[in-house]
Amino acid sequence: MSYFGDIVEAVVSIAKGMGVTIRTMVRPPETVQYPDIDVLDPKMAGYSANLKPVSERFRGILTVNTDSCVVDNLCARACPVNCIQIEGLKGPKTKAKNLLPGGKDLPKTRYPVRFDIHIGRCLYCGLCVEACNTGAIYFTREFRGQTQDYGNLVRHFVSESEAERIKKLAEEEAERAAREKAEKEAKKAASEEKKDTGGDRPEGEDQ
Amino acid sequence: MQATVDRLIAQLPILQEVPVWAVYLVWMIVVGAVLLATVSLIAGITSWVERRIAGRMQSRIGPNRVGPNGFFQWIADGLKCLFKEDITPDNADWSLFRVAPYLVFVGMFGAWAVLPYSARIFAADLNVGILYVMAITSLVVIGILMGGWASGNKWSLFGAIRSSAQIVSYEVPAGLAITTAVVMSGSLSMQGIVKSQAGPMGILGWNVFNNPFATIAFFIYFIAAVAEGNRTPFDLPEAESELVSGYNTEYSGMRFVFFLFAEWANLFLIGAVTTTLFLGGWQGPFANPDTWWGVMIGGGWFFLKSCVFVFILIWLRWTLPRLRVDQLMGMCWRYLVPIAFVCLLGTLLWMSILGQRAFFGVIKMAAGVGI
Repeated sequence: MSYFGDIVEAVVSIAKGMGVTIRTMVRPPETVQYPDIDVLDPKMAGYSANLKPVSERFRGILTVNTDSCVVDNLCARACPVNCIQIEGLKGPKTKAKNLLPGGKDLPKTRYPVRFDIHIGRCLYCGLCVEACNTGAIYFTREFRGQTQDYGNLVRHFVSESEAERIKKLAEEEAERAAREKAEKEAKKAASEEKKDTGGDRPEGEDQ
Repeated sequence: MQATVDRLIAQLPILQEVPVWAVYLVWMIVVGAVLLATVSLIAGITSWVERRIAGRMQSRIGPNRVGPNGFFQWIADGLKCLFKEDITPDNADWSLFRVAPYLVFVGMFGAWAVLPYSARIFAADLNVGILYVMAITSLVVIGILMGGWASGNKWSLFGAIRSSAQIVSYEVPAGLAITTAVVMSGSLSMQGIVKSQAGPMGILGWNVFNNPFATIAFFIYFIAAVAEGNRTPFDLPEAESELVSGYNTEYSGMRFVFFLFAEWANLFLIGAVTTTLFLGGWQGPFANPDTWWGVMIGGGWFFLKSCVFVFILIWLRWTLPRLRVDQLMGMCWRYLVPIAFVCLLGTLLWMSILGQRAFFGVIKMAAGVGI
């Protein structure tokens, strides 16, 4: 009879539903108490349910390692919204450490004096990260970008003192280069004079 | 309680010099204040418990910021509502609108006067206790109907009318189930009902174990009480998803709190009345009405059983979806009322054939015959 069948069905389905809720109740809650629990910490100390911390591959706010930057402007060109502004100066020739796994170090002659990223404009598309040869520009997992002032959205990765240092370095380099050039020219001029007068081969030229 | 006051007057000569009615009046006010404090505390803590349990059942945490584990959330909420503006809508019926929350509150609070907290702990022991409970809790529906009508809002009116239809319907199976318990106990007084449920270990004498019909009547009373308390799955008068918030939509500030307060205090009240009728009230192991510690243990049993019901009500609320109006009515008139009648008749037959013997007594007797 469907009358008693209905009663049995009601009792069984209510019991089933109540079983589900009581089982959920005894499990730890999924909620992450966000500011109390560090979601960037891989262990998420103090949290015991199923949610994972922010992924290793999460595209957060961009950051730059200026020591590895060779100022080739590839990232600024790749950016679809032009949120990267770079200025560089020529300095002494060194090696830029390649931060990419298995990448080779590149020669570095240009140094950034200005490296600004407007994170208010950034799309988090990752094209700059792909373009970079040395891995100097990369995503952090930082997602907290709020600020009281619009100007703070432009992140300056080269500090003023660092820029001063590089400018000085660049001036020295320019002086050195000018001196070298002058010496070279003087040498050349001297050897040419020699050639004209003597005819001996100048040392160190050719071969 | 009059006996207690009389004894107090006889023992303290200073009270004999003031008129008796003054002593009675002061005593009544003191008892009323104590009850009000208890009800406020229970309603407030229940609101916190409900929100915590609801949170856990939905894999959330629930309020946990105010005090340890959010325990003082109810005080914070109450204070917040106390300081809010008390708005009466322009097209509301001013006097009815303002008086409705008090009726709801009084209807709920009046029932607490006769609850048998323990053998000697109660505010009043009326000889028509359970009838008084049914009568005074019906005042709640008048308050709800008044509030819904006076709001001048169609959703509120829908909520109020649903509430009255629902409570009027569910009063019938509830009344029949109560009659079953009263028949078994032979008394209408709350203390009398509890005292009649004494039995081995303080448990086996409970009305719910008296006979199989009583067990079914217990479930019917519980379902009807849930419906009368406007709790999910029978919360049609509030029905957030359909009627905004039902009859209390237009209320704000402290008047709104009165409605919520009554709802949460009602949880414990439903548990307490069900406990009294079917689960032996303060009867339980070591509960003894003759010694003071026995009385205290009895109070503990009463509180514990009621709290179990509060938990079950919360559990039900966060599990079951809301019924449709026609389903609600169909369930009442097609299932609960006939079954409650069968239970009443079955209990009467059982008692006329087997006497006062409880279910376990019959099993023992049958076992004796078998051997």
